[in-house]
Amino acid sequence: MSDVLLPPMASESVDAGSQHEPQPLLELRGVSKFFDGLPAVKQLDFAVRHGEIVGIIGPNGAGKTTMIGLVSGSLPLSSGQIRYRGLDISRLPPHRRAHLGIARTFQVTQPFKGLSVRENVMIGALFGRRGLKQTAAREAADAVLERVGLAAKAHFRADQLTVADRKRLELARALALEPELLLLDEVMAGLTPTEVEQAIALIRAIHASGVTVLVIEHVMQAIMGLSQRIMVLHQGSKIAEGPPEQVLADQRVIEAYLGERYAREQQSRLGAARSVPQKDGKEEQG
Amino acid sequence: MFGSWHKPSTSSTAATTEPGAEQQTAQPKPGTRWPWSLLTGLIILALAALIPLSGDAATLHTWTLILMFAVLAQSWNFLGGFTGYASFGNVFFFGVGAYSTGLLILSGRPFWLGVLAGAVVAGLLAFLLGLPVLRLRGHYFAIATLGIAEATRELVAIRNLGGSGGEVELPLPALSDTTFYFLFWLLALACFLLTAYLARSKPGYALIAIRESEETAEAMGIPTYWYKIGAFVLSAVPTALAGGLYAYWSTGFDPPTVFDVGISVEMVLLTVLGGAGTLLGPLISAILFELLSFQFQISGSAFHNSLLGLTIAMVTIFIPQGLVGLVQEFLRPLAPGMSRRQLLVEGVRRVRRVIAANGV
Repeated sequence: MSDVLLPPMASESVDAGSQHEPQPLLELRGVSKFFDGLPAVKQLDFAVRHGEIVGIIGPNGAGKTTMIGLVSGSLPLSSGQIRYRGLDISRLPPHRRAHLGIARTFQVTQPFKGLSVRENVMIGALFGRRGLKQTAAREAADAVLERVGLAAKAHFRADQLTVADRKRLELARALALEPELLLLDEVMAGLTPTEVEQAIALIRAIHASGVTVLVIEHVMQAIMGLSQRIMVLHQGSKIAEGPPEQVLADQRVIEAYLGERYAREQQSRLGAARSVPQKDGKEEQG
Repeated sequence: MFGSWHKPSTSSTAATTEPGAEQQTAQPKPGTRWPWSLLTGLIILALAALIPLSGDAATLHTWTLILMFAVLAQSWNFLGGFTGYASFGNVFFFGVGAYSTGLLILSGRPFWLGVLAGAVVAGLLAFLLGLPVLRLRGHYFAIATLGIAEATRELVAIRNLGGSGGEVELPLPALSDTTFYFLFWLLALACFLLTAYLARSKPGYALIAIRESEETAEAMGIPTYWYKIGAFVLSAVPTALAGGLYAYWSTGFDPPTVFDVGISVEMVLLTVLGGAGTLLGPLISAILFELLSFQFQISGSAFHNSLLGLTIAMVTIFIPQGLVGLVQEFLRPLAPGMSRRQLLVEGVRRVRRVIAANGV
């Protein structure tokens, strides 16, 4: 696996190939997605560079999971373009994108229930980028299971796993594809604080091994510590992008993500005597 | 019923009772079950090869039909069982095989050419029909396949294919009944070996992954659409071969016989009763169910269909995993060091638990 990998980002200039032409690994250009005419993602422009670890946050219904669906190909685009390594992948079926190195996890875990944990992961190695033979795929699966801490449960049937282990399995299956770009859709939701810490450590390790990671998370603290850069989605549009501290301080982000009420409270706590937004009717919904 | 036939056979039980003790030992050990299933199936087929020795024409006739249904059910299993796409129109391919054979024999060609032509035509049709139809999921796919078979039956009758109303009269076959029996036997064996291959191979994993979660399968790099079409073709070819053999063997048929929706339903039932997606399920249930069916027919024809229906209802309610699922539950490896008696008691207990869990 390691031969494919690039050095951990940090210094972008290390990436020799892209020196004069900093081509992003993933690029969304004016991407929109409508469900029955209702916009889920609106005119989104967004790019991820090689070796980055980027967080995507936003309140429920902001379009985060839709965006993952668009990038992985499980949802067709309404308009716009998605480029991967400079290649237009907008119309490629999901399996072709997987072969190009894009792997995803599912927010609602979807294990192949009747199969063992090892078989679940093995399928990723069988049909992934390298398309291994069965023996090699089994070995690759075992290595991945070791890595995510599921080795002891390799013989378990997938539907016998706990929530935390199912999340691990989602991750393991994605890793078995040997991705270049990993899309993580709320892999930490529903985990205990200890398990969240383990998950963060694991994602860090995966990133350090050279995989570009896109993390969607609802849990703020988790994503703040993990991401080098954060993009905030609100009602399908990008409302902020930048380093975590900067994004967290953004007034629009605070309003959108934490609600107007929180923003107001924070303002009054800051002792701002200036006019506080007056929208009493909407207060409960904030 | 159709939603639940892939219900994991142990999910309700292993998760709830004594998780510690049982989970350590109850995991299916890949690689231990398959060779036994394969061996059992081969022994069953080897025993079936002895039937002609009985010299009884009626027994031979019954068993010829049993083997034919074993072929049909096993073929249906490729798509319906492994891939999870329940076709209710697979009889279409049976009819295509029968008519190809019948028409070619009538035009003076040898029967084997007709049978092979039927298989090729059925394979091509499965491919072409699969292109649009396999974009549908669940019930829509089932209804579409049903529609194709029904429409074809009407069309064949209206166009007077082979004769007035689509009736085909063939000359008496040059082959003996025993030869027919062994042709069906070979076909059943081939289907069984193909199933055994699928249960263990890369394409087989692709089909199972599609059944378990098509979206995930696609995300994991599986070209699901083409695998589904492949499974449809795989399901069509042996069905058409059986149809061709049946046509020559029966010396005459009409559209209502070889495009009978009842045959489609029987393919579904046999597979589900035996255990969809399993190696032994369709084979075993074809034998048990058809024997039972003939028994009912002999003992009291008035109640034949009611009794069959009742049996089907009972089985689908209480053991939707199929007979094989129940046996596997019984034989599931347990903690080492248990005596035979303890194993038996424990096995019976677990089987009862499965039945209760499904029925209540």
